Amino acid sequence: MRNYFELQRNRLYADSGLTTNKMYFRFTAPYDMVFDESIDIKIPTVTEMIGANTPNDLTCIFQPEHSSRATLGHGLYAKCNYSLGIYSVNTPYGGLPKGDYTLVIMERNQTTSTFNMPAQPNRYEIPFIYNNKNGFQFGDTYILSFSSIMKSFSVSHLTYRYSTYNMLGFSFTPRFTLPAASLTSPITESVLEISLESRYFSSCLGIENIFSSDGVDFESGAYFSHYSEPAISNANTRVLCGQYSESYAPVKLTVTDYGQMAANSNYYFRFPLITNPSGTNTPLLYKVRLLSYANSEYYPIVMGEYEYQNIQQTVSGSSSSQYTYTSESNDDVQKTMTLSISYNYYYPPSGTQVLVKFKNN
Amino acid sequence: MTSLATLPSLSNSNYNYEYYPNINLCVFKKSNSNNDKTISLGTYPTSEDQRSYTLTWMYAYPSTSTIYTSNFNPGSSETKTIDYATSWSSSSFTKVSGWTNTYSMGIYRLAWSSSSLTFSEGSYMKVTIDSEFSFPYEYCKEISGFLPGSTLDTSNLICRQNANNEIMIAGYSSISAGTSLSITMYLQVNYGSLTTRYPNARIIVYSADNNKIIDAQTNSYTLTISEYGSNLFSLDDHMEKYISKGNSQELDIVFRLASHTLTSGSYIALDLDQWTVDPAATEGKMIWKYQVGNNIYWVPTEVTNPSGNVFHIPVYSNYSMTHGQDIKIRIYHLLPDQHDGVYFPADQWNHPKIYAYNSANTILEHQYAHVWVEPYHHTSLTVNPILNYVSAVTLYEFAFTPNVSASAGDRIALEFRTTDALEDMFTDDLGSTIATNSSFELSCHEIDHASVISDSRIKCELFAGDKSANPPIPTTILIPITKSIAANTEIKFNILNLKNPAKASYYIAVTAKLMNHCVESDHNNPCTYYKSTKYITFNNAPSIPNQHTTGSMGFNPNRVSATNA
Repeated sequence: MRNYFELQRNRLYADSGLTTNKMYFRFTAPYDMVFDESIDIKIPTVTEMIGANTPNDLTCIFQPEHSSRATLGHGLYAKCNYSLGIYSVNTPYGGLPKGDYTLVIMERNQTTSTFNMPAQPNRYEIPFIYNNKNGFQFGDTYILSFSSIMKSFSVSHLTYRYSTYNMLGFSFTPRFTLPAASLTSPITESVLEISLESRYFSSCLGIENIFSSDGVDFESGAYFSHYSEPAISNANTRVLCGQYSESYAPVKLTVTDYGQMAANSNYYFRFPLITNPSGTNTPLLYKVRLLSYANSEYYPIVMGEYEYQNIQQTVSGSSSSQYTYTSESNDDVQKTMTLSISYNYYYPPSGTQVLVKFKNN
Repeated sequence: MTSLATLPSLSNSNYNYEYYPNINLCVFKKSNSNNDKTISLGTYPTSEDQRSYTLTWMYAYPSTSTIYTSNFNPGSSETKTIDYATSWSSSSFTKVSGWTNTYSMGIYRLAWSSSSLTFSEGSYMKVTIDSEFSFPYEYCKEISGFLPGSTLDTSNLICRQNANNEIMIAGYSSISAGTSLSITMYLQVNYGSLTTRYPNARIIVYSADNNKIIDAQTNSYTLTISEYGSNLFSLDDHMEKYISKGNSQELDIVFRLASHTLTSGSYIALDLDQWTVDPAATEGKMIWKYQVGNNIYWVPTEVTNPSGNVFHIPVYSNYSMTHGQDIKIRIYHLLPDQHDGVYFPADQWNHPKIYAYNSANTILEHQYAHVWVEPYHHTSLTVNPILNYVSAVTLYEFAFTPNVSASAGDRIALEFRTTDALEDMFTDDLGSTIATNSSFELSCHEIDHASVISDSRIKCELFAGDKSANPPIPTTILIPITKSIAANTEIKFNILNLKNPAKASYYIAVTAKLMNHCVESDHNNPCTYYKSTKYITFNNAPSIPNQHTTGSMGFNPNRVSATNA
């Protein structure tokens, strides 16, 4: 079992009532397997990944990879059964020469029964054990991440003009509830994660320039800012800078301490002063995920996700200048002061958004 | 206002808004087609202290492809300042008692109040008195309206001279708007001619971040100097004993006539106030004599005692008292009944007065002094720097056993003499970098964790001295006492990283005091109720030990032998 395959790349979405009629397990046999040896696959629960009826009547087929097909044809049937959460598959008659295979497990009566898929987003680790006739066991683990696609989502941009401060708005309705982070048992962490392609966006989204012009230290992981509806005052956003040329790591905005995000409720987050990619016709790509981390787990359960793929691109647009001035009164310490900002000549039309930046000192 | 986050509302009739914390950004959305080129940022409270704020830029996005950048007139950004206040709501500068002759010392009260400003714990005040006055005494006599702060570790209520004409008040708890504040202090008229002056005080309050909250003058005091007083009237510095309760001693009083020379027929009237002179009526005699200027001889004089403790000292022909010269009066006895010289009956302030009369009994000049009679001058203090060589930065161990009890809320003050006018002694900062508010938290604890001063770790706050001030201000370390201490209990603690003086083989004083807070109602016990001084010396810096490689070593067979067993 020298190789490691992650089937979640095929995007297994969790939802109530979803089923599949076949389960595929890819593996590499490093040795020739002989008749009377077996493979055990332990599934996570006795309600998921098993047939709607108790799977007593299974069919299992070892499909060879292309290089072995000349030897094994289109597959070898093998005796298999299910008991107490474990699928046991015998090596087919005549054995299996070492090589790459796909094991297919299905029920014979496919018209009336199928395998249940998880009704909730979850992440499973499924042991795959090869029982050697000499009493040795070799194994590996499949990682299955059942996520959930958002019930609805949309993205708003303040501007598509290249190399310009943008305001990115993300609106979504999760299908499943993202629980609030908890510092008491069970300890969990919950994160809204926005990934932006560092292939196009600068590695820190230009946010480092905002901090440096304010004279404030900045480094990857620093607290940034967001606006949200509903507003949660404790929530905070961090910037995790990306890197493209060597590691292809996307730049991320993460929101934590927001609290619970309930299923079927709409949420809106807007992130300020994201510098658009340079050049025109550059694709705007974002991935949004709701992540729930159990205590001591390094991998999250993806409670909701969606991707915004190149629906809009950067444009050239136009930029010009307008003069402004300030007016204030009663500007002594411990007074009640009024402050306003005015354009000299410009009257913003309806729908105009005006960004006013104070130095952050 | 330094942050949009302080704004309770950014509402505008024609604009909706979104606020972005951490980066101080606000987005206004034009909600209708009204012609409105002004965006109101609302009405809100300004900062506690002086701050500047900068509007960095302002961009308008009328569509997804158009942007209007903006420059504030006249630059690309605009910096504004929340200014400190410049006036007190009420203030007064009054004399409580004393004369206003030239160079006379009196008690004055400065009172002030702000109806709108609050002063948080951690803020501090600097009071600068106009140069018509100088400070003859280091600590304020009384304070009112200030309570000891309890929230911050650095809170240590103090009202103390900080520079030549400056007093610092720090360590108080938050003061709400409208609180009446006052300090009462000893001031000496620092003016030598007959005139009317209008001195006032400038009071600056700084926040804990060292920004001004208010910088304002008080109302002035009308100082009418209509008579001359001596610019010198004191007890001689070189007396053998300390002026303390129950003691008596031969006393030298020094004064200087400001503008009049007393000749034969004139006389000096000396009022010793509460101090007494033994009449020596049984078989002895009071002896009074005076010395003028640098004359080597003393003039014996036959004094009269017209009332109480008032004595008249006649001036004899050929032995005039010339103005401008130091004149010393010596009082002692031959075979007194009970006490030699002058007797100090109680620990209290005493106000000896001196008058210069001509032969027609007209007062020409008069002056008086304030002398604090200490309850007891103890000798229990020991001061032990672990490294004893000059300029070393070292751990100091202190121990003393006061013969009086102390209460929670009192303080230990350690005073390190900075100069004696001949030599520099301890540095003004004891080697520490003292912050703007002139204090610094030192590392210290009670030896053996004795928990005599406090049940928790003691706090040692260093306040800078000023050797250039006149008189010099000692460097002081204040330690709050948080529990009652019985009399005759040993107090011992150490303080880390104090810098030794640079002068070797020279006696340098360190004084430990027990002080309570100066309060209006206690006129007899202003601050210090116990004092003990220790004089210590320091060695020259040690040289690096040499390694000797010459010579030889051998056994002395008479003393060392080796034989087989």
